[in-house]
Amino acid sequence: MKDTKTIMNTALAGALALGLASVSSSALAGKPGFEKCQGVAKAGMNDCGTSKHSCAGQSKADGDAEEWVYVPEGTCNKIVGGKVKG
Amino acid sequence: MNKGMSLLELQRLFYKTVFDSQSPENGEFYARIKTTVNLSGEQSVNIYKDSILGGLTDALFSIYPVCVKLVGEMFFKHMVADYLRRYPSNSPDLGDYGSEFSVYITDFEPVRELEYLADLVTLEWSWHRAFNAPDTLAAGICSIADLSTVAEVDQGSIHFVTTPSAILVRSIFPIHQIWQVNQEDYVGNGIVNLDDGAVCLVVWRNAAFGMRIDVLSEQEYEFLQAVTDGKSFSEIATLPCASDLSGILGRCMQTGLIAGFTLVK
Repeated sequence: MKDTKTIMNTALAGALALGLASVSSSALAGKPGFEKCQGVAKAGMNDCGTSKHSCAGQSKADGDAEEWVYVPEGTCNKIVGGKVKG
Repeated sequence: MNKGMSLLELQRLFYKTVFDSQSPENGEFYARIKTTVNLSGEQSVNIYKDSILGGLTDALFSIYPVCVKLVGEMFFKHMVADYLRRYPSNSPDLGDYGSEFSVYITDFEPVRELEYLADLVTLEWSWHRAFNAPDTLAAGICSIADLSTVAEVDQGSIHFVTTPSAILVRSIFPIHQIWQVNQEDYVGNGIVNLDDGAVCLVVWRNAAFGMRIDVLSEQEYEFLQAVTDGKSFSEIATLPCASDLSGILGRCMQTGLIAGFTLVK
């Protein structure tokens, strides 16, 4: 039976050899080239959930400070009331 | 309002009035509410009551759509009304409400014949939590690209970290198929064989909010469970899944399920 050191070393080497191109940290950051912009979504036109609801399109008020939509990067701060969501 | 009643006592009475319509204290509470020209104390309180119960009910309807479909809207509404009384909301975030619905269903006699329902509800809750999970890893977690820089002597201290949305679910029933055939965009004959056997699943959100339910092998599940439990790489290397650790780790890193690591020496 292989010892744990060999198992770990082989597993890491094997996994890393597959390449990490598809798993860069930006993979989970949302749409590439877009940013989440809060406070400018029209009621029912939000892209995703907030603390008050979980689904896209469920926002109830225009310009709710918590609601957001995807906008091209750099656009959000040019919109009155817009704030880039962290 | 009478002077001398503490805020805590006032809140307790209000809570009882909203969630326990049969409470003998309700009359006393209504009497303390200032009446208006058109509304009695009870009517005024009922405005809040309906709003609170309505909000919580709507939340559960949106979290558990497949359960609603399986038991019917009327029946679901009845269950929810009972659940609201037994399981109070303990968080200011509406998204946190409903976590114990599967526990409630396990004990709810009228649905005992639907043996798979509690597990299905767990799957729907996991979907809800994964959907609302943070996008990015917590501070202090290294990117997996840095794994190659870890000295061989330190490899045993690696603690892998899953992507924040990943939630493991297992069931003795094919709940992922039940879930799938009850989706609005499902096309097919809708037949699920409950004897298909146990499933290990991971519910998570991929890049750009793609929600996924992936079926895992027993070994993949064991590996991810160990990671979630905070086991170190050296501990994982002694588990049965170690026989295919290279393959499992490679797949999990490629898909993004394993998103980072920490070194805990």
